[in-house]
Amino acid sequence: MMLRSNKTEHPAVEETLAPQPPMREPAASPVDTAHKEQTVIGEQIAVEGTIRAREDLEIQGTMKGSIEMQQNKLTVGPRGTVEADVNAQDVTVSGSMTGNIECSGRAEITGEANFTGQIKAKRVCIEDGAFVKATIEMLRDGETKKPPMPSKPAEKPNQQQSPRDSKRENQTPAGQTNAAK
Amino acid sequence: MAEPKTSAQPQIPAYASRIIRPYAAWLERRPEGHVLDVGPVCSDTINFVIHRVRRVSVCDLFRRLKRAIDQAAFVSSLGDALDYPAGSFDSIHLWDLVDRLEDEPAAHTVQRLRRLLKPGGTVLLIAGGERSDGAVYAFAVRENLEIAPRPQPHLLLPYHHRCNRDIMKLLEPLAPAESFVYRSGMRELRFR
Repeated sequence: MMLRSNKTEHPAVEETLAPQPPMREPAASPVDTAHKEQTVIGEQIAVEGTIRAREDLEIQGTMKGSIEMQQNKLTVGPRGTVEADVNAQDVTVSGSMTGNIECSGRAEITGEANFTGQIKAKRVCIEDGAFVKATIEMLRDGETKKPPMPSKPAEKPNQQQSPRDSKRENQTPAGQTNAAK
Repeated sequence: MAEPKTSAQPQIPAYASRIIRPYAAWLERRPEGHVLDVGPVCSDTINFVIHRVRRVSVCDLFRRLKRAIDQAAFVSSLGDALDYPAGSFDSIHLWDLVDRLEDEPAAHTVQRLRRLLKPGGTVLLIAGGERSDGAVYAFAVRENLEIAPRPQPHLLLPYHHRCNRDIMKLLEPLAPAESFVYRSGMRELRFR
C-alpha cells in the first residue's frame, strides 16, 4: 500500500497480577485511548498542490506545493523529496527538502537530510552530517502565527501520480489529507 | 605550507574558550543580528547563536568541499554557494575552513565572505595548531561557553596548515581584534 492511514493504539495500562486486598480501592481503569493517526505518501506517489492535514503525515514520495498542518507533525522520510512551504507543529526532515518551514514546536534536520530553505521554529535540531543551506529564526513566545486551518479544505490540489498507484490509492481512505482524493 | 594530510578519529577535549565569552556578549548587543556559519553544521553552535541574535544562516562549505573533491570538481567554485547579498551578516563563523583549502580557493572564498560582512562585523576563526592531526571538527559551543571539538568522520578533507601570519594576510583588510593560542595548539582569532 502506497498511501495508507495508520491507527496506532498505545498499549493499555498493564494490570497488576498480584492479588488485591478485599477492601482496597479499585485500580484506575486503563482509559488511555490516545490514538496516533498518520498518513503516508509512499515512494511511488508524486503530489503537487496544497495539503491541509489534521493528522500526522509522512512523505516517502515526492511533494511539490505547500503543506498546512499546524497541529500535527510532518516527516520527510529518507527517500522523500519535498519542494514546499510547510506550516506544521513539528517537522522532521531526513530526505531532500527545499522550502520554508514554520513550526510552533520542533524542527529537526537529521544527519542524512539535504535541506535548503528557511526554518522558523521554537526549537531547532540539526544533526551532524546534514547537508544544509538554511536560514534559521527562532519563534519566540507571543509571535504571531497564521490562523488555524478551516474545518474543511476549501480546494482540491492538482495531483500527479504514477498509473500503477492510482487504483490502490483511490481505494484508500486517507483522513484529512487532500492528497488522498 | 605543510603537505596536505588526512586523519580519521582523534579526540580533542572540551576546553574553556577565552574568545567565546566576549563574543557571546558582542552578539547579545545585536539582538536583530544575522550570523553566517560555514559549517560543519553543529546544533549546539546554532543554538548558542540563535538564543542571542535574530537569525543564523548555515551554508555548509565543508560538505560542499567534500563533494567537490569526491566528484573531482573545481574547488575554486566553492564560494558560489555564498549567494547572499553583500553586507548581509554581522558575524561569520569561518572555523578552520581556510586550512582545508589551497591558496587560490582560500583567497577566493575569503574574499567572497568579506563582501558578505556588514561594516563593523566580525569573523570568528578557530583552528588547530601546527601539530594538528588534520581531522575535521565541528566546534560545538556548549551552554557553559566551553568549546567541545567534535570529530566529523564523514568529512575527510585535506589539511593545509596556515600560520597566524598567513591567516591574517588572507583576511586583510580585516584586522585581528583578539587571538588566543592554547597548549593543545588550538588557536582562536576574531577579526574586525
